[in-house]
Amino acid sequence: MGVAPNVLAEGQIDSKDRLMELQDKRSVSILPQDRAVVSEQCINNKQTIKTLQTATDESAKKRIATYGAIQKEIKAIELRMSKQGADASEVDLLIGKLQQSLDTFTEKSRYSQQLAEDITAVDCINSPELYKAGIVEYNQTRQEMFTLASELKVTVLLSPQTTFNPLINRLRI
Amino acid sequence: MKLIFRHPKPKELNLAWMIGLTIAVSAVLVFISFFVFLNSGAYATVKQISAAQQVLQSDLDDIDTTSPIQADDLEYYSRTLPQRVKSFNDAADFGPTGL
Repeated sequence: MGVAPNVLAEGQIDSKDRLMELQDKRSVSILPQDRAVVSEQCINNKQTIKTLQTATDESAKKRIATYGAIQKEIKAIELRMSKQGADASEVDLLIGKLQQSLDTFTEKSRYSQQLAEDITAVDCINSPELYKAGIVEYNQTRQEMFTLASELKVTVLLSPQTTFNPLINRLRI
Repeated sequence: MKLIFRHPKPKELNLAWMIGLTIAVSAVLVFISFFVFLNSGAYATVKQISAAQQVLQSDLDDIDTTSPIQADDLEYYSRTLPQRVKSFNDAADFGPTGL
């Protein structure tokens, strides 16, 4: 079943508008002598971006599932300790920290998906500036995802010292 | 010439006016405190924790939340937890694209 022409046109306008906003925001311009080179890069990189984004989505999904599951497990630990009459308030801080990074990571992940779609839909011949603006934003979004993913990992790696050791000691008393 | 000094008549305090002023000052102080709290790190932490609580409390049906937990169980969990994220290569998955 084909896409209704008006829906397709609407989607293209949205995508173009978003990239134009980025172009304005970042004041992206291309020298006349560089336009042909950027147009060519745009054409050549479309498939690369699609492949890259598929891999990024997969990696992001794994992070979201793993850290989400960890949050649930440590919440369960807190509830079990509370029922024993032991204080486990450190766990709330850990959950809150994970939640904050995970929320932003999820948001950035969706944004990178949309950017990849917008970039691959751009008219490379007539609008290389939009491609360039999209790529700059895409790279920055990936950098932010990297930072957030690293924060999540470090939070979990340090959790034995920051959260669990005090709880273990409390249970041993 | 005899100078006559007359003490100014002390102004009478209007009770209703004083109560009104006190209430107004208190309201301003409460508003300022509330505004400072809304912009503080403490409020951000409270929001984080309550958001996490809401998300989690509706989603713990499949996990044991009632049986007592032993120190050894928690120690084992704490030791194995980092292994689950160590394999994540964030630089490879979200690093620079070269585009």
